Amino acid sequence: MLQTGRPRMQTKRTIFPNKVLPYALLAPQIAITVVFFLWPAGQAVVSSFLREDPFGLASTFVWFENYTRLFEDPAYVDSLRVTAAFAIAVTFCSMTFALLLAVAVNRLIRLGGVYTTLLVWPYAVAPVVAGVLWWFLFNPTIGILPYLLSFMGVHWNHRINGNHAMIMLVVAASWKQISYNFLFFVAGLQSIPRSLIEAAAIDGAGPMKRFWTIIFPLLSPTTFFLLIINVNYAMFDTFSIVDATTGGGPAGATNILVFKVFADGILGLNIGSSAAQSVILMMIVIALTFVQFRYVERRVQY
Amino acid sequence: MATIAIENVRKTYPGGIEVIKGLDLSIAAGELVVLVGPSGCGKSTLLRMIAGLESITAGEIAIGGRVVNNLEPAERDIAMVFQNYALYPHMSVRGNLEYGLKNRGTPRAEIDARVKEAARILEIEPFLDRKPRQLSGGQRQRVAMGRAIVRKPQAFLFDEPLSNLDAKLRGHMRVEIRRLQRTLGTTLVYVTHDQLEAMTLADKLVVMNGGAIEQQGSPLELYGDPQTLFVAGFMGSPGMNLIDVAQLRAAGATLPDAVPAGTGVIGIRPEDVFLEAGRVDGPAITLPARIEAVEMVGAESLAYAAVGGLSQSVVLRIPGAWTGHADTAADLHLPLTRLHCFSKETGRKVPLSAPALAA
Ligand SMILES: Nc1ncnc2c1ncn2[C@@H]1O[C@H](COP(=O)(O)OP(=O)(O)OP(=O)(O)O)[C@@H](O)[C@H]1O
Ligand SMILES: [Mg+2]
Repeated sequence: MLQTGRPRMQTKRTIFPNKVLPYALLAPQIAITVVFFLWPAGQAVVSSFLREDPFGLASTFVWFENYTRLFEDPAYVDSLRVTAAFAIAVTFCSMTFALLLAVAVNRLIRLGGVYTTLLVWPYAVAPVVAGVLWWFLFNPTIGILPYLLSFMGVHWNHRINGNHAMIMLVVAASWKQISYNFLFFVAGLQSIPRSLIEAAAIDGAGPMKRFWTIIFPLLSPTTFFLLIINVNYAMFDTFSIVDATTGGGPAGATNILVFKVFADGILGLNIGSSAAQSVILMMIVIALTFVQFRYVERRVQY
Repeated sequence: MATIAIENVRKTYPGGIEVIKGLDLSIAAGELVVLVGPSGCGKSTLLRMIAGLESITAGEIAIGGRVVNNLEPAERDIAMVFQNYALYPHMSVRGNLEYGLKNRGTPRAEIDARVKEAARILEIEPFLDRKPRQLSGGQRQRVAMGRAIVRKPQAFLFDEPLSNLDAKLRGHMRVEIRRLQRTLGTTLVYVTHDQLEAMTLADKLVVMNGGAIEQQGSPLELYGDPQTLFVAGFMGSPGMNLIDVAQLRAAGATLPDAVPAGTGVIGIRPEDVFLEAGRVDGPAITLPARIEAVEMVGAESLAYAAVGGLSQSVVLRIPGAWTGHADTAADLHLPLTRLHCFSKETGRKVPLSAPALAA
């Protein structure tokens, strides 16, 4: 028998005496993290304190000027507002639809598996493709949706109408995320014991009441988890959808933060400002992740 | 308090398996009916059909004279206690008790009064503000019963409510359920696996087998006068000794004339088999046997005796601790008056004729 020197330990644990091996095994992952994450992040932080001259030949240290300028810039404040609206709309739409679908599928006994498989497909579609797909569907000249909308008296044109552009973006971004949310909601629903629902039915609660007083509260860990994931998704993973459909326009109506970083830095070549923006984004991610971890730690709330 | 009338009820699950096969049962108001039977015989299914959680394929169920086939569970005015208790984990004990009343729009003052009373009866007042996960198994069980009694329903339906408790607590709760049911006077249908619960609780005991009722009656009736081989073997632990007559004859034993023709199996309770001839009055069958093993169960001992030619050993129940040696030869005395005769083909009882006994 293996003696570990800790008699109370229940699990068997093998101890390797080699001190170098663990580092060697970790090295590839550490290298990837450093090269592709820590180093660029550090670069961004450094750049955010610098200002380059118009020819990109020299740079001067300007302390927080890039940041103060950002918050004085109406375009940036506008982008913050647009991002918030976009994130809330996408999170709300994708989670609501996913929950509706999950509840519907959960009621089925036989065909549940088939629907689940079909509903997961959109998740496999690349964001760019999703963007292009919806761009075609909403295309004012050849798209089917504007054609149908015209019968309702709506003259769809997301190229000139900011609201239209935003709606299209929200639809495209939510559509892709519904699959993911759906899977989690189905799993959450299936972990609620049937007898609880039956007890509530005997206790005189109709289907709606059962949903709001029993099912929804018991789903709250799943819902909270998805909330964070979806805000994260809407703020950071939707770049290619914006890029493929509206390009941030018209007139900045869909210029969400991630896209603005790209537009200002790569297209506008304002490296200092763009770096400051990415540092702010980074801090938002860190904050969201922190909230999530804090929550996961004490997750059994009821 | 209400009657429950079950008439020719059938249940076929999707896939065509008939689980309840034309079952009739009538339950008087205030009666405590216990359903027992082997696993999978359809006890839970029947209970769930009464509750409205399972559709009724054919037949009719009436509660308090009202046919409930097409009513929602909530409209049937019944309360159910589940084996896993099914307490709402996100609500406090008080919340759990109130939920059914709130859904029915009971006035606040009335809700408070009823919750208070139920909590007093079940002695769960100290836990009213705790969540179910902060309670022990026994306390959860009480809360589950509390949730049933606050509603003051027409009938209670309990599905193995005590099977998750330890033996001692089970005994305690059994007594309490009986007392509670007597006090409230509410009709109760109770499903259990436990022989002791079945015998001690029931006004009427119903033995089910394969989706049909084998026999119903008072516990003592079923124990003392089983009408079928199944009931004879099922009731009691250990169950009745069932001895194949053909095997007995092949071994050279002769049966007295009192055993009616057509008897394929004779049955006798372990406590009715005696080792000493002196304790038997009246005619008896005597079988030479060998005691193979003895189990001391405290107040009594169970002896297993092998009889030449029989494939199964005969069990004897002997009061007190047995002092003899295992692996000794002994004669078993089976008093004729205690014998139950069954037909092997139908599995039903063949009545002993009184004149034959006297002869
Ligand atoms: N939803 C279902 N679909 C198909 N068959 C089912 C379903 N529920 C139960 N059955 C079958 O019906 C039969 C009776 O089940 P039931 O739960 O009523 O048994 P039970 O007498 O309560 O058994 P136990 O004592 O083990 O609880 C079983 O053979 C079971 O497999
Ligand atoms: Mg059962």
